[in-house]
Amino acid sequence: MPDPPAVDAQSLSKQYGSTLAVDSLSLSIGPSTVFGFLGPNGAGKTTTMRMLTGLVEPTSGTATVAGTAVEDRRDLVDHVGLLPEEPPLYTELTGREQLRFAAELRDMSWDSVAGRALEFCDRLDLTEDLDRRVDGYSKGMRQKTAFVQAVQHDPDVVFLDEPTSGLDPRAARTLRELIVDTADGTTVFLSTHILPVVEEIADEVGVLHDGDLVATGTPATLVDRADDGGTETDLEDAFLELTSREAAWD
Amino acid sequence: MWRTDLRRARTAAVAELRASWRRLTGSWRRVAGLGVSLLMFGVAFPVSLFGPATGLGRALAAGAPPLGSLGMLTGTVAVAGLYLGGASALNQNRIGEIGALVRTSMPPRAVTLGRLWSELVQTAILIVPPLVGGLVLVGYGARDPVVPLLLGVGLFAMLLTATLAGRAGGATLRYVGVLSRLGAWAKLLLFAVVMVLIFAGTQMVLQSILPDDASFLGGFGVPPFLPGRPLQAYAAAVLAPVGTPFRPLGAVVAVSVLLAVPVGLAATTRVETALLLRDDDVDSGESATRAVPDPLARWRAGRLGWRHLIGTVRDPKTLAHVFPVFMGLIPGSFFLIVEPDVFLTVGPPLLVGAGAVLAGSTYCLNPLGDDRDQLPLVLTSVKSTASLLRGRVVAGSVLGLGLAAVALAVAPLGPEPIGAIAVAASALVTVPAAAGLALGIGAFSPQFERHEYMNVERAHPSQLVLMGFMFGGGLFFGGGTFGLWLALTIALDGELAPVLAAIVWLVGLAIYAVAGLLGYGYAVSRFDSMTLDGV
Repeated sequence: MPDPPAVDAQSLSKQYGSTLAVDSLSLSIGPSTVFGFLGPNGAGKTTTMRMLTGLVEPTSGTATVAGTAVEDRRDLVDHVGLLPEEPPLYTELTGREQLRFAAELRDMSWDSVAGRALEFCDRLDLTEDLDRRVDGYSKGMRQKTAFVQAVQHDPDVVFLDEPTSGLDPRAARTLRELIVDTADGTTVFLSTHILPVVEEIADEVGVLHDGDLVATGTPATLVDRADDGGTETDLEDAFLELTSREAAWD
Repeated sequence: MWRTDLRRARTAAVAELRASWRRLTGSWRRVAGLGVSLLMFGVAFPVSLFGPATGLGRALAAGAPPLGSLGMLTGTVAVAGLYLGGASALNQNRIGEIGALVRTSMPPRAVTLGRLWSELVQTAILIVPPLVGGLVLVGYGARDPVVPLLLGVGLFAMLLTATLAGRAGGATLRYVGVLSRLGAWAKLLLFAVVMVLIFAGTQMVLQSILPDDASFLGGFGVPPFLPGRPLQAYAAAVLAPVGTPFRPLGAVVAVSVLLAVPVGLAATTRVETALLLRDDDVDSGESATRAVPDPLARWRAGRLGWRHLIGTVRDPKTLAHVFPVFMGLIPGSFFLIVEPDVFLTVGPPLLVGAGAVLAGSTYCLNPLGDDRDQLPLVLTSVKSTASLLRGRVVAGSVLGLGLAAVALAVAPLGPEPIGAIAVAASALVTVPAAAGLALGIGAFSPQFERHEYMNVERAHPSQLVLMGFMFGGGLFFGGGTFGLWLALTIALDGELAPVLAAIVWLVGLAIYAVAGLLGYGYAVSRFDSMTLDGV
């Protein structure tokens, strides 16, 4: 019997007033998968992630994450981690206090998550700054702290919104490696505009355009479909083509 | 150069005024608040001022000017101008956000002039209508348009001078703060000292105008150079054309007032322009990771509540919304210091009441609203917001119980130690109960939008909630605690059966506990069902 999907959405829609932010989105993501979620600005990516993490209620449709309905926030929190676009940090705390506080929010002792958290901090060159206040952190350091905070409790599914934003090339590379390592047991829902990152680490890709999921598949599949047989094609070409002609491939 | 700067300043001022207008009209809450204020003011002002203002007009027309009242009126206008000017100089956080754009788009002096221009207009909108209203009433009483016209010229000149002086003073204070590189707590302490000095100074001046028994500091004496006579002489000089006796001192004051306008303008422009070019981001220095202290570390709400306390230690601005209220307590504190016997008698119940209000007002009046930026973390982490909300109760109670501890220390020194100790002990119920009730009131109207208040830009509690708790909750907890103390004191004097006193005490505590639990329960139910849709 195949494993149940880590993320399963059926006809998920979200309407704000007269604006349909997400239109009847259906997708299924398997366990331990890195899912690259692509789309132009305003396509509905953040709204989708917010619905899947229980932060906003879908107008219609259903979704489960790790087998838990997204409306059931009480149980959902046991399965998810989230790195939103703006790192949700308390700037008056030090990095270490922030990570402890995040563990405490989940009613987990710091000791139970410290090993994993500190290993990630170490790999991200954050250890030396952990006892400094967050308000003195650079954008990249805040991003790293928020990433560790999102994954330190080893969630079933982690939602990452532009995780490499503000990182220098070395840190961005380390983070990509960490995401791949994290996917060993955790499903990574990765929203980003940096297409080479998706091409490099994503197992599957979904392209959202004007609230519609216009394509899903492996990066190679999408590139192949966009290949017109002429010049060499990559995921960027596929993305541009998909989001310009608004074609639904799947 | 000046002409170019003024032209650019006008552009900046118009843009700022337009933005302020849109901020005001963009929120139904603000529009409603303004409407209620205007309604209250529109009714209360004419009713309360009709008699005095028309009486003043009649007296002026009759050639018998009440110089004491005129001095008082001039002084009031001057104090209002000083306050508004000073406050506008100190409330300059917003420039931090757009600073980079402004600094790279126009010369610093034009920026300063533009902000000054826009804020003077806003001050005028606030203060000129009531002033004109009052002058109309004076004119009505005098049956002569010249009297209010002269008085108006004198008062507007004083208002402009005082506003510019306040602005220059506030800007200088900020500049000193930047140069001194003081931490946030040191600045706060300095601010409190300045406030106390201002209060004491005001009392000294008032003493020269009002009867002795109207001043708290009646016995302190007033230096001869500080009486209200110059203000009276100024008013007399302004009204000289309608027959008020002219004194040379009035001419000196009038000339000084007029000269102060360009001097104040130049000083403000210079200091604020210098401030624009400096970085006033001072680190408080407190940076080491701190473990949750033992009493709090033992339970989850304590560990979660510690965040608020350590946040306040590192940045007292998190409590900016409470400062005005506690500054308002300065007069009462003075009274208690001047009369230590009274303090020993009524101090314990007052301290317990203040502790309850402090516990509720510090971290509980905008629950989760001030976590706006962290809500994605919070809402995807906690199964219920209950523990978070209890954390706020714990944090507030730590502060409130601190005051109760002082009450307990003072209680044995008073004339009724047993009653005072019992009241101090009741803080164990009233203080967390006040925090619970505050949670409920705050949950009714959480504020997620950041705005500037007391020079701090954050998601402050709504003014409605703040005032509702301070007055309603303050009366309920402060007045109630005082009532409990009174009942216990009477009982211990033998005028009430001790059993009955104990019952009164226990019933009172039960009422507080129920109120606190109801507030807490409402807040939990409200926030457990909250999503970002409602933010």
